[in-house]
Amino acid sequence: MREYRIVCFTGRGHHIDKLYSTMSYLQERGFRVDYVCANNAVNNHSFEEPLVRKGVPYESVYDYLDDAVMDRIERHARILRERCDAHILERRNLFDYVSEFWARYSFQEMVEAFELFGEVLDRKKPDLTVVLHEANFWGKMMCYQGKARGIKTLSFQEGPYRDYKDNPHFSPFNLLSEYSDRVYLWGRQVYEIFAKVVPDPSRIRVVGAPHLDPYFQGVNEHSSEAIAARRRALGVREGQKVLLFAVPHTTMATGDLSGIIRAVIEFFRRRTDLFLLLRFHPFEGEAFKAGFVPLLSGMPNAVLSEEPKAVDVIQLIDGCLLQESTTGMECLAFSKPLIELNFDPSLDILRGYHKQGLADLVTSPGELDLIPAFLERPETAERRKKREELLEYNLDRLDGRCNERIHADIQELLRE
Amino acid sequence: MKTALIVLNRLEEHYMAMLASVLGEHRDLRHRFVTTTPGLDNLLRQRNLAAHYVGSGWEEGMYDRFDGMDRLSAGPMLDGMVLPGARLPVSHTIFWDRLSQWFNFRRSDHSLDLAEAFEFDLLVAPLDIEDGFSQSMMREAKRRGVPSVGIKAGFLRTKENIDAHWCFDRVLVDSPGDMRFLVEHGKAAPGSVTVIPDQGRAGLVRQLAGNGPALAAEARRRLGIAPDRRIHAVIFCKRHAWECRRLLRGLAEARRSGVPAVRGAELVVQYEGPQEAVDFPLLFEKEIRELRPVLAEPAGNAYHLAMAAEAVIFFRFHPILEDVDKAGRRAILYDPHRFNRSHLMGLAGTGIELRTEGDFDWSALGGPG
Repeated sequence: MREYRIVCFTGRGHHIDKLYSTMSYLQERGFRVDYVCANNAVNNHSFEEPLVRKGVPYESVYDYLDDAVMDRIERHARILRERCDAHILERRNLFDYVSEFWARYSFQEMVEAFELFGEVLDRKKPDLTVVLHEANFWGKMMCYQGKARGIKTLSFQEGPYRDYKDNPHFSPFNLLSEYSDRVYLWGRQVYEIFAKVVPDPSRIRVVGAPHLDPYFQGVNEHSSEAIAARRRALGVREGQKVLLFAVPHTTMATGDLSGIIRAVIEFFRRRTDLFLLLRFHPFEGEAFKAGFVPLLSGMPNAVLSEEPKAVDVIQLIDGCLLQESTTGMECLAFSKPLIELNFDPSLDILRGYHKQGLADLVTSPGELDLIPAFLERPETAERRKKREELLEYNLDRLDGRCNERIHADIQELLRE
Repeated sequence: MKTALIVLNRLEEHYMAMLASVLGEHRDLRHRFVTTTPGLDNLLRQRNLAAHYVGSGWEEGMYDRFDGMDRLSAGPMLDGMVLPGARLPVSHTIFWDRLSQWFNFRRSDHSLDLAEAFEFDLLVAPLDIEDGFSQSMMREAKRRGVPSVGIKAGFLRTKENIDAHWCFDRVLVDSPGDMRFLVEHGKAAPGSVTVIPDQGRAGLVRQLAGNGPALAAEARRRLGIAPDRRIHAVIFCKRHAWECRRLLRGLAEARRSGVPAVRGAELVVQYEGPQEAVDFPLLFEKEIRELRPVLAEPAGNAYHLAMAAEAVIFFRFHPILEDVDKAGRRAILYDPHRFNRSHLMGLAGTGIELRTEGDFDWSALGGPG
């Protein structure tokens, strides 16, 4: 049987986290997967680190650099530079809004990545390219270069579409995905947005959330014994309820986020019958986090959660404190109760889970004492129905077979 | 009375000395300071200087970026711009995870409104492409035909600065090398650059050269390296992780093939900053296992290490290489495929050695130990 070859580009941690289960599934079925990464933003967010942590072999696109490629990069970068420079004295141009360092750096890195993706594909000659989302600095270029070479191009989606935040033309969910032969989506919710914008919706497949497959297949590391052992390793005592606090990103929080975090930590300092997993948004700044992490010291019932994937933590918890978060969707998939924190009655959490009837609400530091009661309360039939509807709409089928569907579809695509 | 508008965002000693030199030539002008550094306006006002805070930069509210992307990609600079040799519009890539995340239209518009409202007869501003407001003011002066003076701020000879657009009428820098860099790359006319040497850096070099053996002994003691062991020092910066991997791969090969110069030498990896201390052990686990380098914390003094080393290797042109070279030690710039455009940094007249992957020779780093 012929071995199909995939070049899979991964960037920040969520790329490999979301793609890994699919790539592993395909590898087990005879596909060869070559992971490639690039530099990123003066390497402040190294693309190599998530791959090293995951333990997968990878190459940097810069390993494909040679003098001929370097000359091409220089030439092409010069063409774009001259075009920019011809307009740079016009009022209110790009360079008035973005620091010139960042603009110059980004143009250069764009040309480097574009040329090097082409070089990687020319040398490896894969059958397929894979990216997490096409609407991404690297994803767009990889899909374009693949398409230009007649290679089948696949892109995936992650997270639900948020109509108050995402834009149907300029968001990671859309931007036409014009260079993808297949766009694999989690559920109908995102499909409806894609179908309005994508010129040829026949390329779209609703498959579910593939990264959740292993969890719904009950594989060993997600067994109840393994979960109990991990709770003990964290320091969770018998009978303690574990709560994840999925702290929203500072730019997305409703109300005084610092005040909320401090109140939650103080609450857990008093309530030693509960255990706190404090988890910041993966893109949160270190300086902001550093303001709170020291507050956990000396608390036997609180730890900072630094696991790369939220879903690994969700396995361990009895409930989740949050505002608006994709983590909430994953909690609902595992039937974990949600408790929304909004201490400012004048502000509205736009797509809050409470508003949708899927979470209890805490509106002041004093009300945090209601949490144990919320955790004890059984899920009502009405909430269960809403939860199941929401999950079906957003995550399609939670049957652990997403990768099976993707595999079947890829085989069909390769036969075309 | 005519006005000199002075953009001031930094207070380093030598920068202030250069600023004082410019202002000394324009005593007849009223001085008006503007800053994007919070609090600096108060400091200046306390000294009876007219100062305005204009704010700038990224802040909450980033999600108006969609308007910005529409607006900027439709402007004459980017409209219709495609990647060379392809049909892919530049605006379809460069905003994603790049430019779109980093500006705030409302705030920047406010700063630019202020910039355009200022009346001035001379502009004095930092020569710094990371300082967006200063760059905007420089272009505004050019549009109005108002004379402008740029003062070097930060390190000048970088990959990005080769592409920078500077249109100051006059520029002050602190070294002849910087002057050559600006002139060679067409950033300033030869007669428009004034060099005001940085006495602080000159003093540092004198101190290094004069106390080399003592500083070297101190570095060896700190790192636990015997006096008779030769040292090859690599400064690690996360930005150059790929270059560092190429270098260490070459060193591993040299060790395996028994190159005498590396067999009897210690490899010391000096972290450039605290983040590197976190990242290097993760990214270079395999290399650490094989090469067993001595890892030097960023708090350690890289200059002292340089005095103890056969050679100091870094991946881009950097003041430390320049200073080490001037202090009489061997400084090597390793740029595997001239990827960091190091050959364009005006190295002529210095002893800094530029090495690519094809001509880096570990056996040339000192004799057998």
